Amino acid sequence: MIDRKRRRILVIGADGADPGLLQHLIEAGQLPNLARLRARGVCAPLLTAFPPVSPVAWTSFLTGVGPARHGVRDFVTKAPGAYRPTLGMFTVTAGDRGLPAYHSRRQVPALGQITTAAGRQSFTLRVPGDFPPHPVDGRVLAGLGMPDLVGSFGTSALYTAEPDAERFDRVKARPQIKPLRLTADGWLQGDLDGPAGTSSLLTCRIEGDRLHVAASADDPTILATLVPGQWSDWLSATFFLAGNAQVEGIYRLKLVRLAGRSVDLYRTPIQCAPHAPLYPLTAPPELAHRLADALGPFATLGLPADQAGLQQGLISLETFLESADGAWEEQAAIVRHLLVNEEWDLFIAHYFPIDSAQHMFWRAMDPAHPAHDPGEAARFGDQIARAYRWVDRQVGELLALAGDGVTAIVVSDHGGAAIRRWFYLNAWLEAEGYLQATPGKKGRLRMDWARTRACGFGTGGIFLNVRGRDPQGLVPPGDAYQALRDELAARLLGLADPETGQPVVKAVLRPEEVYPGVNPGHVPDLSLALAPGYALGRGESLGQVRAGPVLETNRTWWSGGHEGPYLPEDIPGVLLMAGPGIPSGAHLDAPRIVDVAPTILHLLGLDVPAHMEGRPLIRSSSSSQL
Amino acid sequence: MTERKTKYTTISIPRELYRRVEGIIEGTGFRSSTEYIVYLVRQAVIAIEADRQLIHSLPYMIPGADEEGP
Repeated sequence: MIDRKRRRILVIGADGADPGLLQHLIEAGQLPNLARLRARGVCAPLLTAFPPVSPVAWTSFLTGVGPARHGVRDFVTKAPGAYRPTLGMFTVTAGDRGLPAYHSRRQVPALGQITTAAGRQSFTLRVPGDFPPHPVDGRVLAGLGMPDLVGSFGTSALYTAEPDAERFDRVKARPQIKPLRLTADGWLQGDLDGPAGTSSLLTCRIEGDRLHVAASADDPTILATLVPGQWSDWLSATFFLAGNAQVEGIYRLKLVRLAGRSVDLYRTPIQCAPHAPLYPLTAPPELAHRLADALGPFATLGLPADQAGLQQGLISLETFLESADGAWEEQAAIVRHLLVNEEWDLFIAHYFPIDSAQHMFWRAMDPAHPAHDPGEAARFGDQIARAYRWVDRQVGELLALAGDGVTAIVVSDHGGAAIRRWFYLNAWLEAEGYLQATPGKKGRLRMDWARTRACGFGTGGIFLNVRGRDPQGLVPPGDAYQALRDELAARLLGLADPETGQPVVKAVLRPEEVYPGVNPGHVPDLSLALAPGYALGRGESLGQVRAGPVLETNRTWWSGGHEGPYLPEDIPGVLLMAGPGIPSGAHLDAPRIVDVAPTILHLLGLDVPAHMEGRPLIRSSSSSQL
Repeated sequence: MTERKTKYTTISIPRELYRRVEGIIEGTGFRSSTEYIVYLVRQAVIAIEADRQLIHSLPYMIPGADEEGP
């Protein structure tokens, strides 16, 4: 039984919430719940981690240490001792039945583990980088990192009987356009891709102005009937793995177009079914079953809004927004359900809508963005503010459900800013003679590692090709290594954008500063922080080089972000705290994201572990245990 | 052509590495070093393919569209 006299803490993670935009929207009266919270508590910009990307920063939030200590250091990095990118969030090995097995990179305990060990009940819901869930962390629902059934971060598809039609010319992900084949008995069938190379069939039939989705050609039970623009509920598909093991996936469909016999049918990524997830979804595993029993199927993918589908030209902005809105509402229902029906002392719920909107709709909000268009602004200019309002509503509802005695913390991992220009680091390294490439397939460039001295991998990382460390290393360790680092740093800091005359690179950081104590070769030899307005071009993180200019104006929908990368002080998050233990209007002395976990532990009356780099932000007598 | 010739190919590995595999095969249930090496390579390929699939599907890695889709 929970002692109700004990302090309870509700943490709302508002990914990407920017202190400047938050202030503006509070002043405009659009965020009444956050305004009330701020008025009775404290609020300050929050220094984030480097690089300022969600899995890195949120793991610092959960652990109270920086990335050098916690081990989740980037989305993508270079595989040590090899010339290939590898995932920085978690590691992958071969598991059973030809499936991948996923392993956490986190090296230190998180809040969930510390509070659980102290006899407190905790929930950690959907926090980016928190995958796979640690069984010692209390109760966890996996966040960004949780893959779909095929083992990707989200592979959606568009089914059509006319895959070569002109309207698909702009689609970059051709394999995701799936042909619908007409069977002898009049069904349209398309492939549903499953794990480990398995597949199943999507079966449907056109009848007048609607599309019926059936269980199979042999079992014509109608599972959904759709008119143009309509979404199905969650549907399920079964896949047969080696050894006759069955696994279920869930997906939703949207009938995008139906004109005569011509049909375009969008399918979300096929996701792990929550009542029997193929990959680890919750800790303990029964939590997923309980949620599925209470709420029915729900999106389990860590990043359920189909940003990738929008990037690839597979879906319209309206379809993207509909898919995102549906996922956010589902998640909000899960959070409310657990908040009300389960016992807890620490409840952490993470929400993605603000970050998602800032990435995709910045250009519609910002008249100074090079891709701003007044017509688009009329359609989508309010989307970012709408995301803040949505989070504000969640704050209001959760606080009402949790009751007055709860200490509330709203925290973001970084802010948001316009991306006006792309910087292609590897194209620059090639132009300056540090990187060599030869013509490869399909007009692409192929790295020539035997003649390359430096290459970019990850969010602003530069890896030198070091003799004795890398397979074809040619930079001698010692003085030559140091001299090359100094030369690169000086030249990058002197790089000016010919269009503006402004510096592109604001700082060049050494691993001794960013990743003290980590083995060389496991982290970049140099890390760039770009000037505001610039971000690394796509593909740069993967150790690829493209034929093209070094700098390019951003005309894409991915028009805002935080992943430049920028110095932590250039893209701060926000910290807002109110309630028992938080003196109203208290001054927060330059809070950092590593300070939040110690603050939470202190508010709960628990000791702050000595290994934590942060310190409690509130130290008044009122913060002692109630 | 025999089925073995159509389904299999020959690769060379350093003799020293082959001897090390022979040294650790005992008790594994594998009938030959070749069978064990095929198993090890298959495990490595599954892991690298899975890693690649994740990396290339990250929205942050995908070149952006300047037009929306259908």
